[in-house]
Amino acid sequence: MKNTRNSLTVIALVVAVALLTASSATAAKIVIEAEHYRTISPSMAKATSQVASGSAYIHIPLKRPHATTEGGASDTGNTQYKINVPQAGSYVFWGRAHWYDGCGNSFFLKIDDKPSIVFGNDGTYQRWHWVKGVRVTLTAGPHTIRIQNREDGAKLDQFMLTTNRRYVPVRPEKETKQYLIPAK
Amino acid sequence: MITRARPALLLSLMAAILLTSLHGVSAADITFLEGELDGDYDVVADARISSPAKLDARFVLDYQESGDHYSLTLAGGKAQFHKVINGKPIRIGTAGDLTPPPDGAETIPLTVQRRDWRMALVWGDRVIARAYDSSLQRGKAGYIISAGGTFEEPMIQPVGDIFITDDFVREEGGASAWEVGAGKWEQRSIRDDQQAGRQEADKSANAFSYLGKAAGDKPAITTAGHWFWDLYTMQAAVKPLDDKAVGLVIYFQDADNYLAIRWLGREHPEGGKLQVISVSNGRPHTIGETPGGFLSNQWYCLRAAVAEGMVHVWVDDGLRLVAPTDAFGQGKIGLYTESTKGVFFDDVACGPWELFSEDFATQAPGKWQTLDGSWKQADGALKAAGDQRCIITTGRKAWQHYEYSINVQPTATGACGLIVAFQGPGDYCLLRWSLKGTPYAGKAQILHVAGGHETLLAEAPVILPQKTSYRATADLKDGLVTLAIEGRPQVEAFDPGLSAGAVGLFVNGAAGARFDNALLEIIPPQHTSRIVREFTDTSKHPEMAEWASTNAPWVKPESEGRTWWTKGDYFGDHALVFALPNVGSKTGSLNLIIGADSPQDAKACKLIATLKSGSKDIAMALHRGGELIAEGKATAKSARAKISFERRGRWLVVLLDDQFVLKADTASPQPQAAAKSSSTAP
Repeated sequence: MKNTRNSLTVIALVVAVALLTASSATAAKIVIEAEHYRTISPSMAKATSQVASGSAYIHIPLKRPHATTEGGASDTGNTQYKINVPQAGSYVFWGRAHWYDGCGNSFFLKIDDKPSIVFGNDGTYQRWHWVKGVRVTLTAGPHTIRIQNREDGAKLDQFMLTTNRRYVPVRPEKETKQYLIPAK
Repeated sequence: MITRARPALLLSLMAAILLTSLHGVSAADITFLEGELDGDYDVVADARISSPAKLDARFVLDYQESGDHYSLTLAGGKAQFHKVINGKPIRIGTAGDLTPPPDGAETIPLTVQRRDWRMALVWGDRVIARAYDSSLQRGKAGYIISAGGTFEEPMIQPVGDIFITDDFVREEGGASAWEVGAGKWEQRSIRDDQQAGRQEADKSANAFSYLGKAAGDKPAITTAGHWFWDLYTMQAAVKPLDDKAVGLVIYFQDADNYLAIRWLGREHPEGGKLQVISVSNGRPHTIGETPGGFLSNQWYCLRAAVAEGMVHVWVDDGLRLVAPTDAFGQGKIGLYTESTKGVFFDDVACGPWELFSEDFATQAPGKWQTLDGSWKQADGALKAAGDQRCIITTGRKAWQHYEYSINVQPTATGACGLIVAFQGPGDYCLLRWSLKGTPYAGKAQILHVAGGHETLLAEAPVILPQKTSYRATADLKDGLVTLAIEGRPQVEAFDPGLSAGAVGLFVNGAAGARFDNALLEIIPPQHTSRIVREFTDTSKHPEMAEWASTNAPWVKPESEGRTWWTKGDYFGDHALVFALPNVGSKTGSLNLIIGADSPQDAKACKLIATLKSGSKDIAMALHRGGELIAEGKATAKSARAKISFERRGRWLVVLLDDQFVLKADTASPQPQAAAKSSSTAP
């Protein structure tokens, strides 16, 4: 009887470990509200909107004359985030963006010390929509995300990193605050 | 025996507890999936099966707390939707045959689509089952596998708005949302002078475009959008540089599997024609075509819409081709060319599309709901089975701005009719006609049924063709309801309370009347002409002559206080929309004029909107040919009021801030008291 119980315990543990392992192998999804930055520097700014997730977003305010900052050399306004990536893997970067026009539809995206890359440049203007960005390999643990000015009139509500290649966000996603490392 | 059973029981219990904590499973038999289920969604998985006949599985959709749900049963080699109420399954929709995975594959992908009132199963590369019901609210989704296989990587994919536009305003070589599937694609600016950097993108026209070139025999394809898009319309401006095929791609899976609109130039060796092709494993198959090619070096607007297994194709707003197909059932949009010289693409737009078609060839329980009397589907038609009043309905209550048509084979006596704007058993619009045997014999009528009470909106003598069967068409456009038979207008009415709803059929005293080939198409939104300054100076900007509009501009009057006229001609229904500033702080009047041949035209329809400082009330007066035909008053919501002065059929309609204010019947010889109305915008 005792042997049976021991066997049961072992089997149960094996099953539990197997299930937990299977669970941890499922796709990872990190969703961060853009206004939950660690640091912000002008001309990047925070703004409020009822249609933005969390009622707030970040943006490069529209300038007059518009579209004179492309290239971003003179204005490095940005927000920075520190996130804790739960598992190593190949992640797709998505951003919920709102573009003013064809000259206000991108940011620079910099992950850790990798080179800055252009995020956006699609042609859907004047409405919030999810924009697919780069695929990036991340280790488990802390990483830094930097969103930087490239064009005025560009807004960002949320960004998401996911290992699920097939999943496409279509509405505001529930924030995963547990992966956001707050400033000390 | 007991000791063997206990560990199994314990393990099951532990597994259930662990699954509960990890995946939110709450019912013993169903593996529920996590995901957002507020709106439309897909359940996606790869089915690993040895034989479709051995599979015994079920997908559960919209599972309610009461246990009611929809189910998709995959058993006995068939797929069939059911609605399960109080534990009792009721078959809904059409069934389909399950096929084995393709050669060399161990799994077959599947997508269960749940839309507002539609359900469908995409099995492999085909839609094999459809069903229609919206009586259950959104609930949990999951699956059960009893035998014969597994579902790998199941997940819920929410389906949001289908929307994408691109005017290609970006630097050459810049990143974009387009993914090249084949060929060479590059951003191009027609202008290359020193002015090129000064484009103002908020003026819709621009000099940027997208150039695609085929490499060898394989067509060039570039794609955008998402894999789960299913009911949509897409369009693009295209300018072919030679007679090789140009086109649009829909339901793109990969570079060897997609549907395409393929349009050949007049001088193409195959002859000029427009085709819908299905490409499967790289092999094209024509599923529809019509003669007529393009002239190279001209801009055209090519548009395609896909829904319910039907592909519609337009060229410059003219419907040219309709082709049926159940292939793929979902997929991205794309641009297509077989030209190695190239094709310019511009102004791509993609949005949702709605289509409902019914040939009554297959029983689809649940698709039509009998409201009154009895109906029978047989011999590929729907028949009224009794002499009493019979009504049957189908569709979504959210449908608006549509054309609904059906073939009617009436009986000698009694009445037939169509129903639009159906919101419930006591709330709909009935368009009926009768030759004899009814109090309204010889007439076509439009009635608004509200709260169960009928109000006659309009009637006219009915003129029917001398044949046993004819096509009846009802239009519903923002309160304007019209009935046509064999394309001949019969009667029309305007009621601002009729804007949206499902459709149906009506018969009274005409047992045996037959209906067939129902079709509902959403009428595309009209083009908007934006106010732009007229471009006249091509000496400094020669490149502008190529793309500046000559139709849209307003022509500035020679002196202040005179009338601004548009340069273009506007036919059919149209709306002149004007934003009126300083409401409440200015005194004055605004005259809006439509239907004028010239500035001196005395028969022009004129709306005079009068404002007084200190009030947001706006007095409206409608004149035609110099005579007052209707007047009213409304209150603006804010200091900036939007006035819309519209022609809808024979009606003139005025809206303030999208709220109905007044209407006038232009066919009426004298001003009518009924046409005079006053309302206040809330």
